[in-house]
Amino acid sequence: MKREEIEKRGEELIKEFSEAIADVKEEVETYYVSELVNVVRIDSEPVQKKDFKDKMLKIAPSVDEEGNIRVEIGKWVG
Amino acid sequence: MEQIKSRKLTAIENTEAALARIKNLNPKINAFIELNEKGALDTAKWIDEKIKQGKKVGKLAGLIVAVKSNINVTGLHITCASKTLEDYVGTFDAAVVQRIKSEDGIIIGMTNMDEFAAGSSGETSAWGPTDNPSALGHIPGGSSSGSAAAVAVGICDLAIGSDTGGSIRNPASHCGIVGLKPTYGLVPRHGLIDLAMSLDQIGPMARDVYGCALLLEVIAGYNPRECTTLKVDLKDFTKKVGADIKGLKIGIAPQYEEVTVDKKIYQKIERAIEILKDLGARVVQVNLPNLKRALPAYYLINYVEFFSATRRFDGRRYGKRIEDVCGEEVLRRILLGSYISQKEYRGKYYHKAIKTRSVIKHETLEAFKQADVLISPTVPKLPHKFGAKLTPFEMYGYDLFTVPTNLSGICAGVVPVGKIDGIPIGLQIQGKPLDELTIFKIMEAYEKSTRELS
Repeated sequence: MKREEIEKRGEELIKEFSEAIADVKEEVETYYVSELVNVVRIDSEPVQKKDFKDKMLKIAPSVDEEGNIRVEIGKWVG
Repeated sequence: MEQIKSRKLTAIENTEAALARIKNLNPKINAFIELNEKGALDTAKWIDEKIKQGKKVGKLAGLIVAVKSNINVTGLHITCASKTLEDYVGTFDAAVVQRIKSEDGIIIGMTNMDEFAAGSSGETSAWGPTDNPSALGHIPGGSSSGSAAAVAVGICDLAIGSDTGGSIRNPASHCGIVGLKPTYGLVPRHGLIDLAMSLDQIGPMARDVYGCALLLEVIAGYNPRECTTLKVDLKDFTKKVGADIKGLKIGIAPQYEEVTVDKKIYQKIERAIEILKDLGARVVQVNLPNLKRALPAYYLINYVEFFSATRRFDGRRYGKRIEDVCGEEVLRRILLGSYISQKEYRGKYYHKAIKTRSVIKHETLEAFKQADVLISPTVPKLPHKFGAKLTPFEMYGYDLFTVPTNLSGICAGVVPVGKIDGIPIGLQIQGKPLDELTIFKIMEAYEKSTRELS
């Protein structure tokens, strides 16, 4: 299915969904259901994992001789 | 597991047998999309060595565990069954995977799933659909399709899946296994690739209630790395299942029967309720007048959160831009999420949806003032056959009974209660927040009584 068709049919879907909840009178919004959210982490000293850089370089698209990651600017950028 | 600990069966033997079964059955079922053959055998060897030396081993010693492909495991491909991430190899273990490994579980491989968990049928994977081993030719349900199918066909002992709107429970029902969506915050999400972060939970899948309780015991608990896990005392699930269910109040809403499409499903549920009554449970009527509003609210929220979560897949870090390579349903959710997120539509759609979420949550918690659990079918209709064309709305219809659990942040389990025309049917038991134990008790009581009957 083409993108335009998905968008067109999708908008109909959204319309149908919004009509089904249109008469809801509630004003309170629920983002997360957990009320005991631990909003801050405990600060501690950073730990450097020795193998982490190697693992990251392994999945990088391209790496030069000095271990720098080579990236290509996406076609949609700029 | 007892056989492994008592050395009647070695962990290596269990692993080799699982690998042989996978090689034989996976080409037909397509439950796994990557195997961890060497890693699994190395772990098994290490566990056997520990047992031989009389050292203490973990709760999962030698058990074969499958992992859904949206949960990070070091060195394996975490693709979310999408071409977007086909080259991404996990650089760390998700918190749940660390816990499974520390309890000597053997990670056997990554399971198939609906692309980015955005599906209810198991058909949308870039690696092809998973078949339902319990009803061949029918969908296994989704999105944790491979995890459910692998457990059902016996090519692993346990599996983990993720559940945003029913993705553990729906395939558990269709494949005839036990699954549980934990209370939001009970199990760490660290290392799970988001579908909708305010709704996602990782949970256990197994052939029986004990296995499901055992795996939850291992993966549940506070994680200081994330802000939404709960600091709560862990329940000793496995020791407490088996207690009787006399006097427990089972809530039934008239809306459950009204919206069940295949009436034969509801007849199975009524029969299961009779069995629970015989075991001492009491039935009380509850009212859920907004049940039908849960589905539209859920999808509007899902679109927005998924759109936000996928903005990192812009091609720069993982090689491919998601919109260029993803399937139709993923593209639909991204486009609609983008549309709803626009300033002029946000209030009309998204804010209305999260207000409806408040209504669903209050209504559900209100029902728990009268009942200890709510009992319903897991899905309102039987799984379709491969090749059937469903509209998005028809596909979303599978989630009717499961999405209220996620919107309310509560827990729910699924246990098989029989078959219709050879297709398994699962009973859904929703529990109060952090009351997984009551769900396990009821599921175990049901499982035990029907095992005795058969």
